[in-house]
Amino acid sequence: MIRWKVLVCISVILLTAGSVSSDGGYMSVQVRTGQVRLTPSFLARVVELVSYGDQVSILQQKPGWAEIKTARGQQGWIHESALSDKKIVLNPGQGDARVDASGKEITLAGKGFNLETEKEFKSKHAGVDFASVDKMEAIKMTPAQIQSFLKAGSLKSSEGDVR
Amino acid sequence: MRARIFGFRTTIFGAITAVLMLSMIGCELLEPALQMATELGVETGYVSRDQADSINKSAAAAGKTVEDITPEQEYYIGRSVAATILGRHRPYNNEEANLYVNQVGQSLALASDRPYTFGGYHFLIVDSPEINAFAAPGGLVLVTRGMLKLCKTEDALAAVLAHEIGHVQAQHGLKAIKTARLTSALTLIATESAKNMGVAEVAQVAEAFEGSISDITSTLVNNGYGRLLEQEADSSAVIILKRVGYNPQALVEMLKEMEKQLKPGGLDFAKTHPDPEDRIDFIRQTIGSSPTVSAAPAVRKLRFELAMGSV
Repeated sequence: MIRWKVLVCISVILLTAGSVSSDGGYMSVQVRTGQVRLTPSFLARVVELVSYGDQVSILQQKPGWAEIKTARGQQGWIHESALSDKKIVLNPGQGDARVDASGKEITLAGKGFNLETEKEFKSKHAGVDFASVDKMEAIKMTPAQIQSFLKAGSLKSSEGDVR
Repeated sequence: MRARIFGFRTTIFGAITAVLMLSMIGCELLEPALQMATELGVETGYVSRDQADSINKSAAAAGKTVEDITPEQEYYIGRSVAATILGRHRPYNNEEANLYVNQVGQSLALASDRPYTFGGYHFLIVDSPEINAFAAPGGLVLVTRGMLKLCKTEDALAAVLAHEIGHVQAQHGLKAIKTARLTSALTLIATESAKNMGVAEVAQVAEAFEGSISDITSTLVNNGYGRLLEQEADSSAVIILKRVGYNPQALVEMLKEMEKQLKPGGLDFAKTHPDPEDRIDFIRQTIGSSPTVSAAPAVRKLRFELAMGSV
């Protein structure tokens, strides 16, 4: 009797497995800071900034771009390379996220390949040069600056709809 | 009665084994099912907590690949790879030249299939006479003065940078990490919560990180990615150059220039890249019969000379 109960339970679990990991119309921000824009173009005005791990609902998709609604209710467009279909779950104050065993959800583990790991790596290798990496990362350009550089050189500006 | 319980236990183990085998052959939807099945096993007392954890870990380990490296992990791996290379070759401190290389590089990155990475694309000139360029995961691109001296136009510089962006967008750096290392580290990271991680596990993660950096760096500096991945980067470069409006033929011109300058058996680009002549044939096929690009306008020539003249 109990054997049948367990078998039925396992069968039900297996049959419903598909719905357990499906996630509807949500995606996660997979860049440190993502720009939500008024229209699907790198030149469009930024209406909100979203952060790594933020979940956004997908309203519609165009080549290269997705129209989203943020948790704060703001609607706008974000480039699809800034989004992941894996759910990223972050706990404040902790380190890196991880991909869960199903591969569908990135959740937090206190230890990963993160700033702590980098510090340890640095302490073991006297010769490595993170100061130059920091300087390198500090060289930033806005899409508008890039557009004017392209225009001056008679080059084409990308709208991000490159697929 | 004993026989019956034995049979029941066998059924649970049988079910778990069946799900485990299915999950190992790539049906990832079954993993949550497996976890629920093992939970059930624990609750009914037929599988111990340790056994259940071990079963779930095996299933997780089966699927760990480059895909499972999070964007933030890719970013930190890239930083350490770049820091390691910059520890061997000093950066070239010419603000104007570095800014210009970033203007060209970031323009190209925006037209790539992956305009956004966790930390963005950044470019830096390395003070070395060697002819070389390196792309660390996540978008940190290093290019030597030796390579820049070979570039006679902005289009040539764009060709070099677009090839490196091709490596970044396809995550070739991460693919250089040995699978076994990735499997053990990611499984550990994925299955242990922070509070469960003991000193030994933390050390194991640090060791895996160290090993990953070493795998990528030695591929970039010593072994190269191999012909197929270089072809993939060349194809991407042609696509990106066309999108922006640079002449894709500049990639062929650069390779011809490199062929003239590279010393056989040298320690630089020649060691890590296929013969330029092979690449030229492939790139010519990729470019196909696309319309001829008009000569670069005066502004492009002038800004190139201003920024690169002193390099």
